[in-house]
Amino acid sequence: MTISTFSSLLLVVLAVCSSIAVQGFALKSSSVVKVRHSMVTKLAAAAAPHRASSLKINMEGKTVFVGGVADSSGYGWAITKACADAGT
Amino acid sequence: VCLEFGFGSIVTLFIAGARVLLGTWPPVMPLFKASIDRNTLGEDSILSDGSTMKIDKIYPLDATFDTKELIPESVSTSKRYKAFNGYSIQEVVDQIKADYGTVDYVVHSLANGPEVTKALLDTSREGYLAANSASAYSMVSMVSRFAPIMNPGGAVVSLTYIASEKVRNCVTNLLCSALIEMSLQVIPGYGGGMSSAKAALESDTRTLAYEAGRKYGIRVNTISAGPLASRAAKAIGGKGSEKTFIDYAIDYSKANAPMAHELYNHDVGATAAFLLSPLARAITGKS
Repeated sequence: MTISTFSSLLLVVLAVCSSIAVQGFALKSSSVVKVRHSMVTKLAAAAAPHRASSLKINMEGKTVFVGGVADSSGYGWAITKACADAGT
Repeated sequence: VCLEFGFGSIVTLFIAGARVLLGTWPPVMPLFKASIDRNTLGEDSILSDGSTMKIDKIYPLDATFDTKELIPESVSTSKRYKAFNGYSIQEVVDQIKADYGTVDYVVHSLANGPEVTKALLDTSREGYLAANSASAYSMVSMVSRFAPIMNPGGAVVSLTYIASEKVRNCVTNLLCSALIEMSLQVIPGYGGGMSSAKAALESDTRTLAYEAGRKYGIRVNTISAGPLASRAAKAIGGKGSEKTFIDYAIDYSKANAPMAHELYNHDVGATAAFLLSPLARAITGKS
């Protein structure tokens, strides 16, 4: 075996290895891209003004009476706060 | 609404949420009012935009009394009540009507069982009826008395508890052991007729939803939330170094609930806000 044959064999081996490595990486990175893409799509949908406003809880101009609040540790307080916070 | 903002500057803004009115049990009213007036609730009062929640008015309310005439003199002249007036349900409704005209949403977030630490077997008639009066009939009375001043499209939400649910017949599900089923459906430690009261509350939610829906166009729902270590819940059990009832309930939920994450009170706040809002306009009579 000449040195040149050996080196070309080595090159082939290296090439195969690197292509596997690249493929692996490519697989990984494409799944990352997919995940990011779906997140972007979701964020874009949430940010779309028409869709967002149709599901927004808006209690502007409403009056809520919460009976049974005695401190800020219970459900009554949390419900009061959610109602006070429910707006645009 | 003009609100004072933090960071040393005053910003005027229109907050978008509902105007909030509270009903507070007279004996604990002085302490609660002081914590609001002195603004010692800190982070608990801060809304998502950084502003401090404004409570329009706090009414004293004892939901075991329907009208002024039904308050015994022994109560009205007692140390814890004599400073207060107008705390029966009807009087609170009348005051809100005079102050604001109408109300859109009503939340029933109250319960009491004087014998809650006793097993049902050991519960007296008086304790049983007291639990049902404070925790279940109070809801019937509130819907009945508030509905006439509620705007159509309005809604009522109350809070219930899993202990009301029936013990399932395990024969129908051979895969489950009786022990697991019993521990899921019966909550030892929530006694004194409280489980009975919550069962009444859930059943009444369906009936009230029908009646008030037809008569006033309002919806009635109840939320069976998981255990939250509120101040009221911590009061059950836990003598000395013992764990309280709510600690056991939280441990149990962590071990068995589908979502093992901690329950925060704003989880329930969000659920209630949804159920009250027009987003839930087709949901009524539900637990």
